[in-house]
Amino acid sequence: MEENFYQTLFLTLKLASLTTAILFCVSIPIAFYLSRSQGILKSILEIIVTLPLVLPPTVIGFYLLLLLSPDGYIGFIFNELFDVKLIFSFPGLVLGSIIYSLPFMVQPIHAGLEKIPKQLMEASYLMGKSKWQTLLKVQLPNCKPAIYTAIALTFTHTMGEFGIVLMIGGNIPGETRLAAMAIYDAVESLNYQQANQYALTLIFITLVFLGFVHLWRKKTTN
Amino acid sequence: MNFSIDLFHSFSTLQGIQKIEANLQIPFGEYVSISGISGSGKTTFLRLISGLIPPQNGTICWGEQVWHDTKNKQCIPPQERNIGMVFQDYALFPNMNTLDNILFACKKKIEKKYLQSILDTLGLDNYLTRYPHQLSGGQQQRVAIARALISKPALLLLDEPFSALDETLKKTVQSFIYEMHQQYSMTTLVVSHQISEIKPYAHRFLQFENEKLIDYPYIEKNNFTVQGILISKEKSESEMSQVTLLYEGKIYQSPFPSSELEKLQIGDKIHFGLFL
Repeated sequence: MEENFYQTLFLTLKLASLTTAILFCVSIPIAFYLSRSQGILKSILEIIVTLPLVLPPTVIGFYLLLLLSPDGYIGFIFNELFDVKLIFSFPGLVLGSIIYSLPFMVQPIHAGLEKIPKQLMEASYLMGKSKWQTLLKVQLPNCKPAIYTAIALTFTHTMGEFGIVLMIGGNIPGETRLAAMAIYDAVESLNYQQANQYALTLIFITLVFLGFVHLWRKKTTN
Repeated sequence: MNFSIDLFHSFSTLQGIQKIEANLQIPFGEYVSISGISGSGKTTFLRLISGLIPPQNGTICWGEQVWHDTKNKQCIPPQERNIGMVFQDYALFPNMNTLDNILFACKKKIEKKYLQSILDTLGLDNYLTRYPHQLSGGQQQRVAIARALISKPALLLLDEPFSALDETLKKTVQSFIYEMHQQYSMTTLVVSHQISEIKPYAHRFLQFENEKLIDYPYIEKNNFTVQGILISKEKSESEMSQVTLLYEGKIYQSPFPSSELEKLQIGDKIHFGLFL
């Protein structure tokens, strides 16, 4: 087994977990806003959220490369203020993954929130509960299956990310080298056995994760 | 002190544009019945006064407190109105069991004795750990009633609150609500298709007629004290129709049971309730 095998897998899992956790926190206010609002702002936000779903990863990767590079707007700010280099680094990968996986987290939660009967929120308001209290105590607990789906989609999607990683992360072992890149490298060097090891491990982890999510969903639905 | 409502609201339905017009003064602590044919706007009216829908025009005042004033762009959110409401389809929270559903409505710490008296009367003691989907329609309705009463609201809004209860239970729940209404001086508005359900308790009957909420004269619990001459009758699809009567040279309108309307002839003398 390759020396860096576990390191690459660990990095892949770390990126997927971090991206999922951050996106979960970011997406709830976005989905809440989308489920409550009407009008042009909602439409604009919906389009922005959907964009990563339809654009080729290389297009997003290309513009992220420009923005995150030390001369780019975001890269410059991070470099000057926090002395953090975003391009070809793990923090840059996290940022890229958050942008690319945004629709996978927002859209299921948004759909779940919209499905909740309006009267439940109204009943909560009449009981003196604020909008945030209602979100936390009534809306989110009643759209758990949608939240589980969002977590599963985001995590598994980030695990297999390739295009953006290639554009903004490169292939630095221990820093930005993820499982998908390792498979690509192994295939290029005709090392099919190693590619198979990575691919089977990814399939296994994804299946186990989806199995757990399916069980949670089933438990909640019951 | 009065609960003053003067509002106009219109909204789209499948049948076209529906309007609601109401101009009322309800003294605090009254028990009011609201009736009207299906789709006349009874539920929407409750939603308008609770603040769940802002009226397009008008004012709603709870005593001296302005809840809504379109002209001055004033609106107090539903959270601050101290209202207890039973929704037509109960609106129980699926993620909470019976006890949590009831306790969620508490704004401050409640006395155990008070909670127990509600649970006992409504027969909910054995279902406290059950979730809404594990309860029958009647049980869900009783949980919704308990939830509306638990915080001793100043204004109690009940939308078809007895529809899923059997006859015996209905009487128990009706008199319990009336008892609570009296004990805590709750102003109570009850929407019901069956006026007979509320008739023994209501101080006042409101009826939606031609998109307008008509405030009928004060009736003292079936004590029909004056005799008028029937000059016209209008049959309605609901349980109560409307008759026009002449009494001492003045014209009055009064609700009358639709089932009895055919027996009436113009010129008949009819006893009706009148607040003089």
